[in-house]
Amino acid sequence: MFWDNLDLLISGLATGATYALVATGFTLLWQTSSTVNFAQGDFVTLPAFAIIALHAAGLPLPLAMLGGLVAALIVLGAGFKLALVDPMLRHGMLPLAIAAIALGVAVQEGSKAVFGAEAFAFPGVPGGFDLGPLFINWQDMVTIAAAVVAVIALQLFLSRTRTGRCMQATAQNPSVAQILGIPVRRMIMLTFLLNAALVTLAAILISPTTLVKFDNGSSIGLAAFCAAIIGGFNQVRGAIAGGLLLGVVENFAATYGPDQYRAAVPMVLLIGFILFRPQGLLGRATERAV
Amino acid sequence: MPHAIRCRAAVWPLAALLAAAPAVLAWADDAPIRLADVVELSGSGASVGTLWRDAAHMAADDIDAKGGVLGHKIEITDYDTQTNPSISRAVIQKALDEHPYAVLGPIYSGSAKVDEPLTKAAGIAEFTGGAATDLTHMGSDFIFRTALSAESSEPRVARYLVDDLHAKKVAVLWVNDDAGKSVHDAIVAALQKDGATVVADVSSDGGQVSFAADVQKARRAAPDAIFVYLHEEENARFLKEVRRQGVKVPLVGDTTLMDAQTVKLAGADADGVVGHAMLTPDAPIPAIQDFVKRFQDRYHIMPDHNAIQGYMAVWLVKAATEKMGKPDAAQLAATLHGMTVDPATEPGILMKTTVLPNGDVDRQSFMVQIDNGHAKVIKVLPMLGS
Repeated sequence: MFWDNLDLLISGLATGATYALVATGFTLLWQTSSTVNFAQGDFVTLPAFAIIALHAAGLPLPLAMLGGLVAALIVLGAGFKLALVDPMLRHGMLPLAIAAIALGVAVQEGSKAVFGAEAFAFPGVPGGFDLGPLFINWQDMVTIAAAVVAVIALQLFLSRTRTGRCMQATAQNPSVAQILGIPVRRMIMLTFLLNAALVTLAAILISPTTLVKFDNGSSIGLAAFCAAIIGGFNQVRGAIAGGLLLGVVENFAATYGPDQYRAAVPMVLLIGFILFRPQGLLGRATERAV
Repeated sequence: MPHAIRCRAAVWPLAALLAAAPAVLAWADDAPIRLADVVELSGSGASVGTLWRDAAHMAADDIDAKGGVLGHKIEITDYDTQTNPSISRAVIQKALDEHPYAVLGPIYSGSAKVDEPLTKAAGIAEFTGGAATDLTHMGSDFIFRTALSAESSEPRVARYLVDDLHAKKVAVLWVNDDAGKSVHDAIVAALQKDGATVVADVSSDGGQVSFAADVQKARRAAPDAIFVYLHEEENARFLKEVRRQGVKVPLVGDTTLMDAQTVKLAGADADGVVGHAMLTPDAPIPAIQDFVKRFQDRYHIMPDHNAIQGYMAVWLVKAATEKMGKPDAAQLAATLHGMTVDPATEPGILMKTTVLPNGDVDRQSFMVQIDNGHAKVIKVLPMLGS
């Protein structure tokens, strides 16, 4: 029983780590530009397709991944901000949220038009090691480690570097940040680029397990959104906690609960947190004048 | 009085239209036979729907190249159900409003189930790839399968598990949708009838990503074999998880487990799985091998059982129409019931196919084993009626 539960814990953490990366992007964009990017899940599929296409074209896998990252920075980072967020944000959050949903649909259908409807295998880390009676995949270990390292690096960047602190200042109060001479627009752009890098990393880590298919983004996006709320939408570290918690709880609920209700687990968690701890696991309670 | 005048004014064009209707509806000598292809072109079923659609168009081109059906060309219009039964109902209504000769699809049983009353009301034959048992038990004379039903497939699988693998305890993993539920009910009943016990009964969701919990549930029950019925992508994820957890018992499934898409995605993890395939591109039948080659040349992708079904459906329409001697949408369904199409006389049908009186289909089927990434037919199972 102990080993079975440990197995569930490890695979849950691996799944949760990818949720956490995508959820971190949610919180970053929300903090700096009040953008709830409902296309975030679909953003994960685009770099995966780009990497597959570049690899199929003959580029070695590391170079293909680099190419995927560059494509994501251009399209999902700068392109997304300049072409969609900037023109829509001045009309308020709701039009932007709807535009993001429309973008998600466009990304899905565009991917299908270009790459077809079938799923593609994605290269992962082969092999693993024995831990007692368990066989632990290197892929799971790499996923957990890469996500943890990425998030720690992000935290250090935000708290220990001048640019990171400027980004935090922008997130807390853009008007005051502007008065203090912080290049607010550049900081916001940097956030979008960071988000593009995070979804690329998530794509590389999650695709060997989920495969690459045009509509994968819906489930990933929903799980990551729930993770961000559960962890605390205004804290990067909250998104990490939320993602990991969600991945583990999903696994245990599916094992010990009725099969039919497993899809409801993220929603039940989400509702529970909204009702009883709306600031999330690690989020800050904030007040708003009405 | 002005109201009466308006009514009379409206009646005349209507009467003229009704008078002209037989002429409009009759098949002119050069009028194409229009088929509505209502399939899953987006959503989770897009991969299977796309293959079906492509094969149906290939069949139409093949038939047209040989002079058409009694001189009539075939014209196929595609409609997308978005793998959503409620959308499927809306688009099939739109398709029926355009008076097709027959409807091809949908493939997913859930969509076929909601469409069936509409094709019945319209009196138009509908060819579905759905395997759910109740599709042909809903009182429609206009529904026709291209797939074997679960209730005819699963007893063959249960017999293999019990007789060939000597499995007494079987874990059943299935996808919780219409087709999955039918397969589940059929395999559980067949296993119990053959004296085996279902020791774990695990349902999963379509599009599910992680199978760690599912495999663990099955493994804890210490089965002699695991029966699996999932969609292709989920099969691949399941197989990877099975190998990761070191499960050694035989994995047995139905058509989707040995599907080319599953094998391609699962890679070496698919080696050793065995199952029943109602249709397979690896069937040792020259006509199917020729179809596979031509499909690959044309679309640069491997066809699967859905593609073969889409191809066969169009040829069934041709065979029945030629048997009638003229295109007659109203009589098409009645002609199809009980009809046997033999490749000796109609090579495009690929395999001898009998349409049973309730709309089910009877054909040979195959037991297939995946070996080194390739499906190998290890046994050809006869038609039930043979």
